[in-house]
Amino acid sequence: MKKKHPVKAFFARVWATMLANKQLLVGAILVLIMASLAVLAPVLSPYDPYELTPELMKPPGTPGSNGAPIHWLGTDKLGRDILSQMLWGSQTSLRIGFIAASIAALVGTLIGGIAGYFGGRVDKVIVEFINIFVMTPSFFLILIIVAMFGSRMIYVMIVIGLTSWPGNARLMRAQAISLRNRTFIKSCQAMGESKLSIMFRHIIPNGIFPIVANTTMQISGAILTEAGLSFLGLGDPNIISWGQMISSGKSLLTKAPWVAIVPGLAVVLNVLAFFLIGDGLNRVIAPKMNANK
Amino acid sequence: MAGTENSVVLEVKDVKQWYSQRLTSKKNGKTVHKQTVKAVDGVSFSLKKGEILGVIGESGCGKSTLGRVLVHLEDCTSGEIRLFGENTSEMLKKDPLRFRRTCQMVFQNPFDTFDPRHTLKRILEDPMRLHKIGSSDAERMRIILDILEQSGLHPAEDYIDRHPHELSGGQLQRISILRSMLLNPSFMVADEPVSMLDVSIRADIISMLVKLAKEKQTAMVFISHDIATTRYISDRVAVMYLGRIVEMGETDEVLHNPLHPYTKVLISNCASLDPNEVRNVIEVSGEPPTPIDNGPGCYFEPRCYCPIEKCKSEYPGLVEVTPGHWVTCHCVQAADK
Amino acid sequence: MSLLDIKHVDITYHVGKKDVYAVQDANMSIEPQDALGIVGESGSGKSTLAMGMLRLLSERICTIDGEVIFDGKDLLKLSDEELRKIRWTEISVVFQKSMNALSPVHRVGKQMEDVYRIHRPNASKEEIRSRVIEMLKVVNLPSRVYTSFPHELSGGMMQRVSIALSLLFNPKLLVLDEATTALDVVTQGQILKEIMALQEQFRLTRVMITHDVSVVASTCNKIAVMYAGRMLETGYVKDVLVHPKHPYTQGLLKSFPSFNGEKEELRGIPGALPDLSVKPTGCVFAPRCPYATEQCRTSLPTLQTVGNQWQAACHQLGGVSNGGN
Repeated sequence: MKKKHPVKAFFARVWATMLANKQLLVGAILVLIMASLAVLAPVLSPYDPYELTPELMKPPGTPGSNGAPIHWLGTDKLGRDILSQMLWGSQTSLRIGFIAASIAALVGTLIGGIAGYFGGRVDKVIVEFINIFVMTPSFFLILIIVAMFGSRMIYVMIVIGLTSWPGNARLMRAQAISLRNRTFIKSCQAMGESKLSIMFRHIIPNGIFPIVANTTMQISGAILTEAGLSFLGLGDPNIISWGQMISSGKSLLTKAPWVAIVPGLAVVLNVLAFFLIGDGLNRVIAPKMNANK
Repeated sequence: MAGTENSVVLEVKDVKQWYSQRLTSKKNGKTVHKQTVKAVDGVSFSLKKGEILGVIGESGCGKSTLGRVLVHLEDCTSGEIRLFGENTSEMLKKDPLRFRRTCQMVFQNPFDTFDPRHTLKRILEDPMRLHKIGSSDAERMRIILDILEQSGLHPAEDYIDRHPHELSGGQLQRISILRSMLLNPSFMVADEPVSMLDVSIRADIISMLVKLAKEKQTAMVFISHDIATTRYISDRVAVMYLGRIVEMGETDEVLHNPLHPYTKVLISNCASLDPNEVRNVIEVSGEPPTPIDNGPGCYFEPRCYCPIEKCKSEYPGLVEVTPGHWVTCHCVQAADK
Repeated sequence: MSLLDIKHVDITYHVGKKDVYAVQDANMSIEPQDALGIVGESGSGKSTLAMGMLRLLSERICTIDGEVIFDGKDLLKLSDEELRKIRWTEISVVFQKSMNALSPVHRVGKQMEDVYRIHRPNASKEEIRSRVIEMLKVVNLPSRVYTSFPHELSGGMMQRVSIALSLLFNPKLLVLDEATTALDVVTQGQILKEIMALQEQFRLTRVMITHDVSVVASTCNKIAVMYAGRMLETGYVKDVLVHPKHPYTQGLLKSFPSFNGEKEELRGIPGALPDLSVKPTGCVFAPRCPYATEQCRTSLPTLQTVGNQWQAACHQLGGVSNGGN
């Protein structure tokens, strides 16, 4: 039997998994579309998102004045083109989602890995620490921090990341505890590898998969949190985001409903896409859930 | 008891490994009482260069715990282990890599001995880099190919990028043994290395293990529940029961002339391949007990077929009945006098 | 008349796009009150055969061809309802880890009663209770087991419970699939002795599936040696284990270290199990056989009679029969 090139084989396996798992496929296609829209925002946007036009609160499809492009999704109360704002805003949402979830994954994996693998007193202290974080209402924590340090986007991302790691830490801890008793970990120890090296080279790579799945879901959570913050007026005022658009559209809900509804739908779709991927990955990890269907 | 001082590799003195267990009440979740599981409860022996000691006993007798304690995968509760006269706990603290080179272990489950995500090349290369074996990548590669070839993988080049799950148990266990031997250990623990393999491949693995151990003069503790296999590989055997050695001596002396009642029971229950053989099975009553709160007397006394009065009140000491044959039994010692 | 007749049974697993030929052309007959030991290493198909003939394998993942005649009925052709009636009341099975079959949160006695009630829905409470207690006594368990939870029992006691459970309805055929493998030597010895006593008492017919030849040597009267899905040698234990005819049986016996006598060098069988998804053209053992010739590699040997109910599937029977023990 001819062996495929490892990279090729990897992609073949990913493709086969996606075909077998429809929700993973749908989620991946949605995310791919959104990512390409975000990347291509400068090219695709018909207007500068900050440009004020004379067409105020015009419904979708209104033609621009003096031969300017059509406002496909209408304009807001300052006459800004909603489609352009949506496209630029998707960059913000995706960036927030990825960076916040990555911070959560990194912190969670490290802390959970240390707790689970080292065990004993270290574990006890960390578990209590995790419990404290779980019990803290994180959204209010974010509110307080943003109120204290200002609402720059980078703070928002870090704060969301730093409040959503406990779930990952718990997952990683459970993985590390079960891996710790496997023979190959003992064998590495007997071979003389140091504890730190075993954790980074064996425990984390072998236990990371549930965290990957969870992180994908957390991307959608982070996007939602940012939208909530912006909606409450605590987002970064200098950057366009969907949450801010919803917030500014809420007072116009009766006169110009599209201003809030369009970004609202986008948030829902985005969250759904990442959730589908995360849940799909979870099912791939635990095939037993599929078998009963 | 192990000859001249120079040739002694390993000395184990009164090693104990106790685990404390908390029993919680079902009603309020409070700790009701603590109990101590005495997995290893005072084991002493010594090993000479190139000598193989077989440790036999039923599951739960503490033989595997003893193995892990000897190579410091667990630190023992009390007692002392000396390698060439040097305390191993201190050795491990001072120079962990040197200790790991001197002390190696082969595990029971070959299917789980290697990181499932690593390739065979990485599995073999990592320890070599760690212990600075081989001066160049090319030399290390030669060693890797040599090990794979010896493990029955032809041609070896095709296997370096394979993962452990693509190999059979026998091949994996061979790689595991060869990898340990690569470090030239002076002492090695083999914890049931063939019990998970098919019978027809066991023999070759055992022969290889013995050959390598004798070639490199590695002292070995061979842990097994299979008495016949132990007989083939070991120079001496120790029989363990509930965390203690009850009988120890030259292999054939102990197995063909057992003195301790427990050894007698164990051996008489060994099934033979010959359907015509008449066996005198000694039966014992009761279930194998757990090593918790065993009382002051001999641990085997509740199941023993010939207990005397003293057995209930006092644990017998290890006494040399004939030269090199040690036993802990009041009955035997009384008869001897 | 034989109690169980297995005729040309093939069992094929469907794994993805591949077919794995786990059992091929298995033939044997079991007389009433026989004790047959099916011996083989992992991958030999011994458990698959036993599970397959009782139709305990999922039909989605494998196909079974051939005939399994039990007491005049072909088990493979019965409807699910008819089969359900026979299972447990006439044929029962004890698995290696049958303790896992018991629910950890219910008392042992209660669970045994539930099993009884499934097949005898009209039985009175008193009858069920006395039957369960009687069976516990039969397998030498103290009566406290009745009110114990599974986790309070040791491995040996759990296996006894399983045996008691399998004997609830006085089955004609008892299949023990590696039933004593996980136990300690002493406990295994005790249980094997009890099983043999039970066989006398209940006039059982017994099939033991094991990888341990010594278990068969001490508890069975007949033996079937399987390798790579095929039966290579069958016959009386006192013939096959004393003067094995098939090179595989010979090699297998030589691989066991002996407890007595000289410590001659142990010899295993070189090589490894063939790929079961490829149908071999010749003898399945030929790649590892020291006596293999061109004929062995190209044509499939069939079982030939070499003695009293003693058969072996080997082309070289004349040439190698002296190579044994």
